[in-house]
Amino acid sequence: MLGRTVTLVVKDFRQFLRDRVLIIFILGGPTLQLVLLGQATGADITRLPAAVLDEDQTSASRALTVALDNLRQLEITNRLDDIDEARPFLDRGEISLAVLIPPGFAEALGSPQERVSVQVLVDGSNILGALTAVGAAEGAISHFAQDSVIERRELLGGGNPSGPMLDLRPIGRFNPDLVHNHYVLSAQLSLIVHVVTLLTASVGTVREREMGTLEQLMVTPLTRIELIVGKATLPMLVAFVDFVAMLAIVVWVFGVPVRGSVASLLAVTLLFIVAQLTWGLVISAVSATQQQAILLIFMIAILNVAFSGYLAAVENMPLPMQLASNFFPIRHYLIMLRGIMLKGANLASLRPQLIALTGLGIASLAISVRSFRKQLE
Amino acid sequence: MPEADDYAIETHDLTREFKHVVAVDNLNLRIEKGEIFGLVGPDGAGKTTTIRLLCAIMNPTGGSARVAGFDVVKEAEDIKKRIGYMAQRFNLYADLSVLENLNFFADIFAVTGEERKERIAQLLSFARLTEFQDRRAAQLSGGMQKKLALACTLIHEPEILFLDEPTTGVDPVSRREFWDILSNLHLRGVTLFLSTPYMDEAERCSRVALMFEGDIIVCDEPEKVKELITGELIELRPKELRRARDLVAGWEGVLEVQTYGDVLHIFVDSVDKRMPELQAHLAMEGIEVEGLRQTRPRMEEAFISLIRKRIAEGKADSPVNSGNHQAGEE
Repeated sequence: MLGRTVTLVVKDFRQFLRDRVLIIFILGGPTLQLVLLGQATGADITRLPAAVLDEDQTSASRALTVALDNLRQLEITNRLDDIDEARPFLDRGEISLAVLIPPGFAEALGSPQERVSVQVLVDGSNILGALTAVGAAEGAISHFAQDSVIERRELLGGGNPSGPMLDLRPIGRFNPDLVHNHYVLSAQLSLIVHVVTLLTASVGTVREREMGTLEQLMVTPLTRIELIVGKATLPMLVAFVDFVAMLAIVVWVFGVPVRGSVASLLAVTLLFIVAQLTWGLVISAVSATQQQAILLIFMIAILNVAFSGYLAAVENMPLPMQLASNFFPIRHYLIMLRGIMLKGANLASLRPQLIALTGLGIASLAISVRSFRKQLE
Repeated sequence: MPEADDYAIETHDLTREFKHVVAVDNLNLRIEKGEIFGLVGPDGAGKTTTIRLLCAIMNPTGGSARVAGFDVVKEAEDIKKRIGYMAQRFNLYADLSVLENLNFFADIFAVTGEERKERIAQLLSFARLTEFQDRRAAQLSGGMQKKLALACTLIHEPEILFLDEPTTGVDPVSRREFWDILSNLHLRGVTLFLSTPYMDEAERCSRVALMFEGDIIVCDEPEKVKELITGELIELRPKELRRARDLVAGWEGVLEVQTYGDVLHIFVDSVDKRMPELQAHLAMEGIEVEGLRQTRPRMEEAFISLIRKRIAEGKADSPVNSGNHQAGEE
């Protein structure tokens, strides 16, 4: 029983290692993608032109202006005298951002009851720039406020520097520098695992069908389970190794952190691969040729990008789509991947996703066992 | 009559329907152990489907079949241990070497130890592939690929061997070698069930069945099949083939005319009577004759004649049906 499965796996590896095109596609493609994306996002968004309207004219407001100017992402190019001046600058694209420091800013900072409010106008037409600019400005402002509060507390004779200052930190909590890289590259990792698993799983089996070798295998004592397990092993290992390699690139080349446990990250990935793998076997059961399988994978990958929450927030989708997204393993996996890598989450806090992914894995395993027959139609 | 257990293959109204066609239509066959059984027929006659049904890799939609004593639906796995199947297409791993392919199937069939070593060496030598054992299967010639495929199906010493057009696309020398191997297997008592489009191969079988549109038209020993032809045969080599054919077909005493290259095969009720008439008629029409002689009917003439008869009957019985038959390609 085990012997025949091992035979099949060894044979698959031999074929895989001889298929240079596939190896290049599976290892080279994703690496290239990561490097390009890693270079293209985040890194180029620096020194966005910004304007400041300082209606407070205190040392605190001037300090904030300097703090903003010191940000890597921003450069204060204009100082405004009136709020109406901001609009034309934004319209012409001469600035991406205008920061309005209201009168009484310094006073508000000094009083624990007051809310410190700073208005930020942003050019939303360049969404990536806008996100970066707002993120950077917000980070700087909240830091500034926080520091002031701590200073004040210290002046007042110590005490616990916690409490209201957190009100000023609406976003940027897990990605304080709002490094777009982290966000994109983590999503890209999940997509790579997704595509590589589907590709190796389905192409390996469809090729056997296309070449007629599957028909030959059907006339042997190989059982259905042996066939499924045998054909699933190579894709599983390839996808896993691919993930580890790409993770290494993402972590060491682009500095994306793994704040949680690496072991849980690998475990979750393995679970995701299994849930994907069975889909790969389903694809291979319905495709007559490798071409058909690849087109199907392409289509499924587009759906997966949409439902993963990578490009568009799933929360903003219509309800039926939100519900549908739950049936895509990548949706749950990406939450876990980002949770573990960027937020340092542990598995206990990711239980809903873990349960969903396990359920999907079992369901698609059942489907693939049913759809994979030792018979010709 | 042999006992039921003596049959290597036995089918009872075996039927396989596809969406638009009945590929195998109520097939009843009994093949004894040790036979070389040949299935002949035009493309789309249902030969491949029949073999797949008997190899238990396709389920019938009607009827039943027993192979090596086991039911093809309920006991498919028992059958698979006892048969070898060589598909029409090259069904091995082209990116693996000759030896790797043999080893793979040896592993799958759990042929181990000394036995495995010996058997692989034996198969390599009798397929004359020993010196090519490290070559990738993709780089073998068509004939060598067929022999490798045969060797792989023999690794577990099957009782019954199914061969789907084993020599199609193979050069005459390789074909001869291939048949030497098959004869060897036959002498060892292996039952051979093969399909072939070649009539000379059909004549080498102990029995042949002519399959047409999913149906067996005739099933008998080759000699007896040839005897089914009514009339005697004249071979005519005319200068103007088309005109000669059209003319001859209408003449008295002519039963059937078949074209083979630049030769006409004319079936007549009596050669002695019609030969002089034919010569006279041709001379009158001004058709130059390069050769005219009496000849023995071959398997090919027999089958073509039988198929034509079947088509004519089909048209007479139900003209609507014959249209479906035309579309009845697999």
